[in-house]
Amino acid sequence: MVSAIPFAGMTAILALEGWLLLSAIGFTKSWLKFFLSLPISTIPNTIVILALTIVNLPLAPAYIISLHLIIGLILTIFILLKRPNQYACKSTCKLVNLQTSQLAGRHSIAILACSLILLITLTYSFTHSVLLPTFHYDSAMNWNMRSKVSFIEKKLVLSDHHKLIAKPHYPFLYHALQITTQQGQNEWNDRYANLIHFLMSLSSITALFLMIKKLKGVLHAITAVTVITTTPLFAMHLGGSYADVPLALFALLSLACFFIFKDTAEFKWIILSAVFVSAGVWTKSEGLPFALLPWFLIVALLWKNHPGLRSKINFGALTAIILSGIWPLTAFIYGLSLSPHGTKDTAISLQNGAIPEAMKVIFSGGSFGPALPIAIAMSLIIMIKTRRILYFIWGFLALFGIIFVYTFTSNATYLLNGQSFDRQMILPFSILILSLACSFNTEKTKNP
Amino acid sequence: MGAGIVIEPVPASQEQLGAQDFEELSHASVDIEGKGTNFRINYSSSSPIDLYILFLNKDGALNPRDILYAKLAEGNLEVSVPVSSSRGWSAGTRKYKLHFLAPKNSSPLISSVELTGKLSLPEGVMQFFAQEPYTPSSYHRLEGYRLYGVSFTAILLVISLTILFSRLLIKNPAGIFSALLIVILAYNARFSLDALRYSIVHAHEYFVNRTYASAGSAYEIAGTLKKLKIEKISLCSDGNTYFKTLLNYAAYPAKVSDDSDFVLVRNAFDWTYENGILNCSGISSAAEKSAEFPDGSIIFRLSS
Repeated sequence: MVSAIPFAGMTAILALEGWLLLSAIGFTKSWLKFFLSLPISTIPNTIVILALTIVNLPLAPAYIISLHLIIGLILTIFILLKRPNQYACKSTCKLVNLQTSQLAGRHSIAILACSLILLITLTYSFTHSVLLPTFHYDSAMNWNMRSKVSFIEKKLVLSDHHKLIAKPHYPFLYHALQITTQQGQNEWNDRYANLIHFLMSLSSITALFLMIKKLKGVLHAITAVTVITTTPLFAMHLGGSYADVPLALFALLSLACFFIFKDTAEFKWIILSAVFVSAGVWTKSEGLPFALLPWFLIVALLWKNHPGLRSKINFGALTAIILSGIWPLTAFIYGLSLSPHGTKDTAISLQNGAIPEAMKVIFSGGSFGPALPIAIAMSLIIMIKTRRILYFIWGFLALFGIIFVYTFTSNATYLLNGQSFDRQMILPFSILILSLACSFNTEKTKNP
Repeated sequence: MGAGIVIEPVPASQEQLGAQDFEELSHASVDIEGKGTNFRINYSSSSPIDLYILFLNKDGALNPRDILYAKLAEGNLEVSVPVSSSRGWSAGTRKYKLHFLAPKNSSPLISSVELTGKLSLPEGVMQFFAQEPYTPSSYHRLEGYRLYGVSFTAILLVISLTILFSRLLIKNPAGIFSALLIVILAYNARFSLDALRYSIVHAHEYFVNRTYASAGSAYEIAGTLKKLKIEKISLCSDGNTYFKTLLNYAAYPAKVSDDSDFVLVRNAFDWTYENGILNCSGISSAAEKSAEFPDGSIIFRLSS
């Protein structure tokens, strides 16, 4: 239990830093701010680990904590220099807030049913992340292994390491979070390594719920969050130790912030959206093509259609370019491949048997059940009917992009042998569900 | 000859099948292709026979998640082994491979193997409750559930499409969304039952039996390596890379390496430890036991 103190301390430092960062962006005290604190702190934390790696200093408590304190100090000074009311929430308050009386009857039953399935998923997630040790293959040869070796050697692994690490060229937000929260431990603690990601998932999902609630009310929020998190493969991955769920959660937070910005025109939301999409880029190689590029496209569409928002959008885009751009720059400096499987990903030709297998996974597989094909069909229908392209473009770009990569490049191997295609579909699936939840017309249920 | 004996098979893992020493057993295999719900088997044997039923894909490849095991009693018998309630079974023609394993001195004789029977209502429903297995590959892909030999996802998809098309008739978008939501949540709720089962079974197994599904005692072994200050250990096992990978993670900075005075024997083929001599996959040396683990793994220290 003694080892819990440094873990709790490091987690508190990160959460406090996240809180200060949100204050600097303009968020006032709220539960949403509380739950966003840990997810947003992953970005400065990754930069801390990167800075120590660049200057070749050991990943030791003194250096890591010092850099976090410096960031915290700078943020505090920045906040104090600004007048508090400059950032006060105004437009967000105009968003739909449903009265509790409207949640009677059938809605209550729906909320109860969703809560029950969510509770079981949470039980599974807690048991497998916190009570039980790391189990799955890729974690033992990449995700947690790279963090463990980096922690023990006090140096971020960026190259092949005794053939123990499969993907030393991946971005390292996932690892940075584990490395920082292990500081103060005498040896690697597998439970804390998974616990921090459990806490981050829990915070992100709760924040997502609060944001959808802000946009569309509690019923939309709980159904969307339930559909996303209890769909079998997503629920399974909430058992921890892979990065597909963190990537999807960062993308979801980014898109939810974008939707709120679209409705409120509040500057802080586009900045937050940019920060979270950048966190996705730093989480997995897939973040660059399937999160950042679609994000720029939706931002560009908004820029084109809303001249009044252009200066805010420009600043948001600049934030994303700077925060995300550091990753490819780092990869270039250290000679790391941006592609998950090296240059062979770039040869394009239709791969034998890949399309039928992809269709089988989507339409009759067990990873997503009927949720994925229904999400695709519903999104297409609503997008065509309402012409709300902006809502669905990210989901469809990621969906068709991943299908293309796995049917027209040598990555088809990982589709046919059932290794990574399904996992990668977690991202477009989650995005489409969020888009559906936020595109539904709630006028009928608004207060008179 | 007894007739009408029904033996319900149970799910088995590829690891379990792989641990069988085919060379030391009387072994027969048969490939069968056809429609049917039960294997009717005529045989005689002086010892029980272990039967493994493998569901093969069209290309002959094995799905390691769908292996069944049944123990056939000794005697001169005709038994029926129903397979239609298991996850791997599907409607229509499909391929199977059956392995019969018995002790060498029992001289088993398999007279006939026949695939018979039609799907009954309870069998079709029961298949829906066959559990999704939890394996090291579960994070990559889940197979899903079947009802009457048909993918439950596909059934729900047909229902969903019907609901979607019915929109033109009833003009009730809210009702459509609610119906589709119920379809999705019904599937997710079914999986959540398995998620709950995993949680209970794994927590009980880990805290009571000190093993954890395919990981076995990997973390306890890693703890022992640290306690005994063993920096390298060679692994004599069935060649499955999963356990080696997990042990490498759990034990790091200790490494799994052939260059070691310590050997971990786990799920190994054809290994012996007699009169202080360990024979295991190329290793033949005087050795002493250093530690034993709940999953059956043993650490040996080589003496010379």
